[in-house]
Amino acid sequence: MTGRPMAPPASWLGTGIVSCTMIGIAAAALWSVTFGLRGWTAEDIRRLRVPADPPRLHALRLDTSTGISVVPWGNREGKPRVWLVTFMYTRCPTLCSVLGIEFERLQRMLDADPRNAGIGLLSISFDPAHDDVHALQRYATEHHAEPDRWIVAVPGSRADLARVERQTGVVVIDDGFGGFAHNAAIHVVLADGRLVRIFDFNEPEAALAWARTRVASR
Amino acid sequence: MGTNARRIPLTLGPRQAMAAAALIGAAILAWGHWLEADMARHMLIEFPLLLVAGLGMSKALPERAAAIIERCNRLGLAGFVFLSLTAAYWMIPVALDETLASAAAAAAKYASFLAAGLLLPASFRAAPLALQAFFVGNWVWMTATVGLIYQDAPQQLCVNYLIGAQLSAGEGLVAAAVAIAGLWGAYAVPLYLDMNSQ
Repeated sequence: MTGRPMAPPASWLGTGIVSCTMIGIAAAALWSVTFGLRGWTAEDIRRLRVPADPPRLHALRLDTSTGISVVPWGNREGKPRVWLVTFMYTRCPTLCSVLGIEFERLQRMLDADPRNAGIGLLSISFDPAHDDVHALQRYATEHHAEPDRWIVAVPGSRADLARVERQTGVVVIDDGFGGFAHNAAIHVVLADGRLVRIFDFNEPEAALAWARTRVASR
Repeated sequence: MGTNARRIPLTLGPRQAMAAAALIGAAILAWGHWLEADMARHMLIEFPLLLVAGLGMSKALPERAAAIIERCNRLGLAGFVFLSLTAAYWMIPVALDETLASAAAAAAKYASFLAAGLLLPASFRAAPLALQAFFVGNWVWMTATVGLIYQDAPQQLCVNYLIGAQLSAGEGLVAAAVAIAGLWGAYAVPLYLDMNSQ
């Protein structure tokens, strides 16, 4: 019987190589998830990633407050536009009504300048259970939305809604009071469906200025 | 160094430990959605459960595999480095959000905590008290700091968790840091006194 060989001692070299490899992998993961250490929250990263690598949104069929069905981007219906898009739900007592007020102001600014003809506003509801055509109509009326300029709508199907949320990075969660919390922002979407910029909901002027450059460069 | 021989007090046999690990795995599969629906539950229940499941798996590790791991884990350094990296990484808000958006990120989270738990007993056995103090101390201040940041942040850090949930998670992290510091102290101080009295 030879007996079991003595276990070789733990090696510094092996420990060093393994530890350094772990640190390297963790550093690479950190670099990737924080977009080069430029952001620490998913919302920061979403806003950084979009201009660097604009996702192309699928064509989206929407049922509007005026009772018609539209596909705002990614098709040849209607005149091509640069869209300023927000996500909301009409019962929202806080952020969405602020967004509504900001959009109302934007609408006035758009109307004031004929160069803005190629820019459209779009409010997409993520609450199809409550936001039928009547609810959308109430919201549109309350904020004086002009149907040619500002479309208030809900996706035609839940699958479409889930897809556009996934593609834009919009996350809607239960707020614990029967409503929703969501990452509110103004999304700039080109006529071909590319989501090219995301602005904070309280910087509509910046969003508009940027949309104008895209209209001018077309 | 008599401390190194002292085992973490775990009285389960390999089979029982593996069964316990499998049970925890099944519980996480069944209730993962509920655990992850709240930030505090996600970080303060699910993460430790995964570590404990890894700990259970370590008891059932084949001898050969345990020997290979031990060879690359001098003084428990590699195991502690891995645990520190794992704990730090999954406290980053965007990383935590990713686990809910991507199956790959979720799998990486499960695997990393299981592996960290798997390495933990051998690392504790191999590490002298001073090294343990370094890593435990680092984890404690890091976790407490992140807990305070979560409580102080004026905005919602995770898109999947409301600011109230973030506040509770922050309080929980600070409490966990204090608890672990106390537990490790209760384990290490008698050992240290014992060592010095010899």
